[in-house]
Amino acid sequence: MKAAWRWSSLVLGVAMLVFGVVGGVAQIKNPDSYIEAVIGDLETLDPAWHYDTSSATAIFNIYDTLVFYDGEHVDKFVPMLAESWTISPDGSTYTFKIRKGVKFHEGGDLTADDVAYSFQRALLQDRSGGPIHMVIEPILDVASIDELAKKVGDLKACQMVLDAIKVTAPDTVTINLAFPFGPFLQILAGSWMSVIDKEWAIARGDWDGKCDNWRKWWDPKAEASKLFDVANGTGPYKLVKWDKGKELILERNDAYWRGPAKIKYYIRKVVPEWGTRLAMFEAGDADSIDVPRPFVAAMEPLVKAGKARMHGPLPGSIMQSGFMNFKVKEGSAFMPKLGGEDKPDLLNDLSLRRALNYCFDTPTYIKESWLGEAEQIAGVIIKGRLGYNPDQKPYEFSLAKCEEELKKAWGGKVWSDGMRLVFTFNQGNIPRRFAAEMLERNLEDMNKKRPGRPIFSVDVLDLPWPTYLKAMDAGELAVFWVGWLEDYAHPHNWVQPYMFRTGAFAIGQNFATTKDVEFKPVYATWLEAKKYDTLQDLFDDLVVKAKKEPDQRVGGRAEKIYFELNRLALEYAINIQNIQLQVRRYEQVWVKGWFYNPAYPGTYVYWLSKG
Amino acid sequence: MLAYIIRRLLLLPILLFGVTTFIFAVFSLLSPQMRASLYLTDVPKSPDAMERIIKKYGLDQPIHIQYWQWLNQVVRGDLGWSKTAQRPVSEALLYYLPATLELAIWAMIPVLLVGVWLGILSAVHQDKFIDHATRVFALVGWSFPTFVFGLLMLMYFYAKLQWFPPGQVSDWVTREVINGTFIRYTQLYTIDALIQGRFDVFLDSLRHIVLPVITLAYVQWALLLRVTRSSMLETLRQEYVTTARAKGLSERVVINKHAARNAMIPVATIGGLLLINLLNGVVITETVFNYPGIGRWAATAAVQLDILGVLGFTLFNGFLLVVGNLVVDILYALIDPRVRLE
Repeated sequence: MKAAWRWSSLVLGVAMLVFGVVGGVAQIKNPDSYIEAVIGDLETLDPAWHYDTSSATAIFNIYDTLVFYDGEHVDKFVPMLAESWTISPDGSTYTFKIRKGVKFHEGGDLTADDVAYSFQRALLQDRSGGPIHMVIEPILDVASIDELAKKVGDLKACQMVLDAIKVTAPDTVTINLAFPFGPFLQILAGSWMSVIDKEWAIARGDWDGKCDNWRKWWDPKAEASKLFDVANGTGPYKLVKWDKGKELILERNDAYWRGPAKIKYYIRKVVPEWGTRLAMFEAGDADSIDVPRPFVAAMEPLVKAGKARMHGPLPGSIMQSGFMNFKVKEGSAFMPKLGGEDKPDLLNDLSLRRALNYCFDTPTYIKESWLGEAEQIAGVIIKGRLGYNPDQKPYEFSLAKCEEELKKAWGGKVWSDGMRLVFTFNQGNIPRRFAAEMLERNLEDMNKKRPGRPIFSVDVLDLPWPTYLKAMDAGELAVFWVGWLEDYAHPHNWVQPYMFRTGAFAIGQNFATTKDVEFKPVYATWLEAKKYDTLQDLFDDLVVKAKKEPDQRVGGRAEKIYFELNRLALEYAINIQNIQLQVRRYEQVWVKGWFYNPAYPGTYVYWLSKG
Repeated sequence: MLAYIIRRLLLLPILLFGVTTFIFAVFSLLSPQMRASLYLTDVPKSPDAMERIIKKYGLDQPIHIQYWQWLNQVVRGDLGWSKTAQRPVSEALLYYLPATLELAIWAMIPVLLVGVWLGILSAVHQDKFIDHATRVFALVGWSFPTFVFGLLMLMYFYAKLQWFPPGQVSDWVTREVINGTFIRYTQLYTIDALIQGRFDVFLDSLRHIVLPVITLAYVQWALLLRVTRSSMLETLRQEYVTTARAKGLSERVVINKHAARNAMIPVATIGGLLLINLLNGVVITETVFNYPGIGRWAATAAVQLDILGVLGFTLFNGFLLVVGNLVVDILYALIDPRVRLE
């Protein structure tokens, strides 16, 4: 793949020079259409089923949610299909007044019943690997509807869903949560919570709204969903055609309740080959294109020639991190060693974990692997989210400090007896390979400072992605690199995977190995200073406190708890450098009205115009 | 000849069974988790996501049971669902084939005409400048990586001159199809345009097909040139050609009427095989020009471990190869009476 990129870049570079492609006069093409050339196609048009960015882009142009992000803000909301809403003082009951006079594309009137049905259907569908686990957790306090049904029976489980989400007045929907949950509005703003027309869905053969046979529609394959390739929303665009593998065509909804969009058609063309996308941009036939990072250089001449506009680099909602397992599972092929003996809990030593951070040359990693377009984050919450603390400084690259910490690790035994570590990453991931190999080199270079002693030995291994995930979940990996793409713009979506006991990464790190942990609050000063049995208990307590805290404002109590979590993540060095990636967007100079909101899954065409 | 045809056709199911068994065997080397990655490409964000997907798609079943289930489906005419095409496999084949067929048909015109002409030209002027020049020209095409040549064509004739866009048709034609003002009877845009007298659509479709056709043709010319040239040289050495010249016939008549016709027999075989090859889908050309053909789909299916997609394509491919080769053999016997099919 890398070779193909190089070839492609070379050919395109030469072609642009030889043919003098750059420098033409910008002429607006297809003035009534906004055309995007993208790498991949949608998976589905069913809001409750989709969990990929391509489908989300289509769905949030076709459907509306109850609330949505206010402009560029990820922590402020504007009313959409909910005219207004209230949250009970304890933060566990949300009441939405549904907007009147809104029509679905096929003519149906929006009612509170449609809203309740859409959410109930989503919870009961709960397809495996889908997005609904995010909604089920706060409403039912389980990981899946299947889990609940196995506990209380199918009928009772369905009844609990209907009781939690119900129409309480002709224009009012109330949602009762199992516990107060700070990020709930962010989750409701996600495209998976789009509102569909109940009668239309039932007429198409979808869930009939009754509890006696909901399993018939439970966990369908993509194509088995009755809403797989049809759509009928209240949004600014309506579906004209999804020509699978080729293009999606949407047409303006002239009766849109917020007023019609400025551009008549939104066309999303699937163009997997980078050179073809670039040529389409050059010719003016694409208003924006997907530009993978390695091809950014090819766009620069166009920007300089005034033929393209670049937004960015902007803080993205993805982070790459190294993870350390405090106690590797017995029998693992990646078992750490101390002085030649197996030492599963080798990384349950703060000095050693700090040493790995100091030995990591972050500036070089960012420059080489991410072309300088990334930022080192101190803690696990990315920049731009509640709880990100700009005053907190990350570990700097310092071989001297690395050496100092290595000498302290395990009371000096690491330095005197030597150690072995296995660094892993998923096959084909070049930046992660670079990170692992760079740290390997810096650690093994320490051997020169300790001649005659058993060596520091590091092995770097790549594993196929599924094997890698399985080993990570099983706690078999010692040191591993992975990335996290945010689901919704709230710090809970960061502290949960990174720190909570069932989190995607924390599950493979065994924080409970660190015992008798003292906690003294620094920011959340109303919290009691106390001793926890394990580090995991401390993390869990704070994660739960933060998500249940009703005061989710900037400067509020939840933010202070997230500050604490971020501080602890850094002080206990649970990761090897967290790197927040930046993103760019390239568009034709005639495109107007785009702004950056990292919570948007893709282009929201309603705001755009050409001219 | 009939016995020969029947014997060859009887081989078809055996061949297809063998090939699909082999593919299943290869896929059985992958763990259920690996095959589940088609449905879960990110870090699983709910605790039991991977296990539920494996169970839902039956990926944990023994491979021979999965194969047996698939065979049962195939017998009932159901080739399964292609995740990469987002439609049933049989529908995907029918959807992608017309585009590839249209491309193949249009590509065969310059491939045959120019390739044969260059071959004859080269043979007639053996070891002279024209011979060397045509051979170098064709060899350059043969050695040029297709995607490099395709991209260069695209950057010049599309990005710079804006003459020949990628894709199959322009957006306005697509809208006409959606609105029902242009009907796709045969699914081949050029043919449908001619049937309906829509020269605007015909020209638009041609504009989109020119670059892929040139790219494909340039790669194939070297092969046809070589075959035609050697066949022509051999024919020109035959006694009946000397006789024709001795009779006082003009060189043009000798070459066009007497030599070229006989020299075309091996060329016809190669031409048939080339067409079969093109119908299998031309992955790189279809990808570079964003042409929605069968090759691009098959390549995506293979890369993403879309087993049912790959198997469906293999069945189609096997069928095409067996039947296509049979047709070529029959035509060969018809063209050359000396050949007998036994």
